[in-house]
Amino acid sequence: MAGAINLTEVDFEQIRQNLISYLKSTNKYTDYDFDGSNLNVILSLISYQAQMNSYNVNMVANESFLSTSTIRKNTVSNARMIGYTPVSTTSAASYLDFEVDLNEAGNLDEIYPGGLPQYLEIQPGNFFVASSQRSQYKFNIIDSQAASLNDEGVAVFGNVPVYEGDYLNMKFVKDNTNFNQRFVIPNPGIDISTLRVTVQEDPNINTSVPFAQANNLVELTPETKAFWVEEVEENHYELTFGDGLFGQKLVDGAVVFVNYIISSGSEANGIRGASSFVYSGKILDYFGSQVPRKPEVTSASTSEGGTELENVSSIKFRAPKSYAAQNRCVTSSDYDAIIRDIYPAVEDVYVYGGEELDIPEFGRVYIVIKPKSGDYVSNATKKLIKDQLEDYRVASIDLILQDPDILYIETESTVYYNEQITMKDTSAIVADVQTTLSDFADSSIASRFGGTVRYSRIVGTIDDADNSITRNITTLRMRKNMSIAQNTLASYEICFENSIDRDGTGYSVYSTGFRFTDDEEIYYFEDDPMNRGAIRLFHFDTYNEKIVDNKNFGTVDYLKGEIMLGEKKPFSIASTIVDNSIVEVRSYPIDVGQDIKATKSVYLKFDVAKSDIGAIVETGTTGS
Amino acid sequence: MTQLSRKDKMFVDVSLSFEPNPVTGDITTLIDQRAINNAIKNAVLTAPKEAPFNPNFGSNINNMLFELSDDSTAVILEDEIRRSIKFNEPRVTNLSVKVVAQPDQNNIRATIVYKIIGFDQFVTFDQILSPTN
Repeated sequence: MAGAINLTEVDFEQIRQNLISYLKSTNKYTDYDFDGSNLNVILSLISYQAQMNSYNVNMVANESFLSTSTIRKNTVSNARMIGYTPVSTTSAASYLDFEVDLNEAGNLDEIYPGGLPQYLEIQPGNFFVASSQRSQYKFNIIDSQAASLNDEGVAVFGNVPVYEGDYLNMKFVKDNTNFNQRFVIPNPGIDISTLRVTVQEDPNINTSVPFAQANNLVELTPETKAFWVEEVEENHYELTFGDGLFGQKLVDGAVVFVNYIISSGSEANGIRGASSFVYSGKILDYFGSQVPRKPEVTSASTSEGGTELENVSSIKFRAPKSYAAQNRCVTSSDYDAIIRDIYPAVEDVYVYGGEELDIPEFGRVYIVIKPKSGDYVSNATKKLIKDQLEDYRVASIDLILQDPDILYIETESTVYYNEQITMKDTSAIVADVQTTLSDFADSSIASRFGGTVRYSRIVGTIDDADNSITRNITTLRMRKNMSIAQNTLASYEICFENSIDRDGTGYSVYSTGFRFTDDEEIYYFEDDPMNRGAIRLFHFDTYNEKIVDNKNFGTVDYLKGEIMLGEKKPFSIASTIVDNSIVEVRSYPIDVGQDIKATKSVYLKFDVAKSDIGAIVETGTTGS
Repeated sequence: MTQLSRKDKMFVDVSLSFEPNPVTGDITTLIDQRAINNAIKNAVLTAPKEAPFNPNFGSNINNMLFELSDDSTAVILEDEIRRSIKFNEPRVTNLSVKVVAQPDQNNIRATIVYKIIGFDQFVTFDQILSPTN
């Protein structure tokens, strides 16, 4: 009796065997077992077709779910179903202060005999050219900027945001006869936060009104001028408008104007200095005439925030978390998910409640952000993030954005290598070790909040840097950058958040040099091996001998890893040997083999550049 | 692949002409000698890797298409046809293959003589190999 044919297998041979089993049960044909038979040709054909069907069904099923999809447009589509829009390419942004001096040539009366205009205006699309070491980038003004003129004919523009990229525009005309009309912007690399949409509702009246980007349906009325933006195929973006119930519906013939920026992503991060930005464009006065002056940039924040388009694995990781956050910040992971939406150029986020502090501060949430480029986000960016978080936070909760407490880890390594089995010299071996350690530093194990630098891992990593390395003697050391307040009486607290070695024969804490106000001598401090717990101040005399100036310059708590300077008697520092008004304070952990951990808002950063690595030829041994 | 030592059953295959039997209306069947002749033909005229997931099935005679039509080509073809049948058709024994080039007709004539395992009589199978087949 013939049974049912099972064609659900994915493997060709299994499907074929199922067909053969069926034929065996019929007793009508016998040649199914022989490769050359016609029956075998037919069986192979059916099996192949069944296998193709199974494979296709399997792939279609995979692509139907967020966690298993691999094709970007399917992942994006699945994420859309839970309300997640993948982060677009984001432009690096900088905030500029600049002045336009109309009286630069001293002929203000000739230019404006009838009196000064009330204000100067810069239209969207004008830009600054910024130079980095790699290339030149355009930083665009995307919203109209105006500044009033003072009596001297100077207009001061303050805190103007400029965004890197090419400023483009498009126009669509709403056509009600076209039921399939879509408003797709056919450019990849768009920063959707720079989208500016205006609509001319009556084709005969040359007035257009701005539409704002909406994220959901909450608080929308039939009159709300809103649009939605979604990623569609080929990394393009599609605009959709309201249906007349949620958001205003476009009338037939309405003209949609879209301005946007195509960004270079993270390439333009890190451009610093007012002199790097040069204006290219025109400035209009109150009367609409072009002003024959170029602005002078007086200050510029370091460009930051540029990121690439979010990749598939990131979408799969973040979309469920964004959905779990439900557009509100309650738990710390909610903050993590929403901050990454607001400001994509985030390396890591650490959020904790004020009740966790040593002296609890209830009703406060502390947010620590480590950006992808640089160590800290600018104050302007902090304000932007805080303002945007207002919509998500629980009422009565106060948000405080903090800079990460960066703890640098350095190594003191002596690497032994067998010169019999390598062509490399000492410097090449050191370079190999540095490269390998840099890879380790970039890994997510160390560089994050709550990260750990494991001693054994470092030793193993150095050993693996080259085949000729036989062993290494390595000590980890910690470093904090003490940022000083120049020429200001101050006391300082430096927390390593890791225990410091107390039992060594020499010093465990030491600093780089600095000068006090009104004193040209270079001073240093270190802990006193003869009087543990005290920090002493010293300088070197002309014979390079150490002269102790103050035996009680500060204190050190070895267990907590905490150093207090000038607690009883504040001091004023004029300058430092290290650039950027920084005194580098180094210490050794309590045990040579101790792992160094980051707790709370401490962010570990493995600093290979400032590590001391040396290589020595191994003698008296046959190698590893 | 099934190994046979004696005739214990009939060999029944379908015909790929898919023409119905005029009496029963069933699809035409090929039995014993016709089934095996057809299997040999399939084995010889199929190129390796042509059958899905069975890359070793078939013979390389198609590669000889542009060779000279002479006795040396005929010898190579004999070897290849013999190898192909031995490898792919376990029901056949006492195999003899004779290939004769017919350059004037642009043909090659292959005569295959074999015995079906379990059967007593020899079977002769003639196939004309022409460029169009």
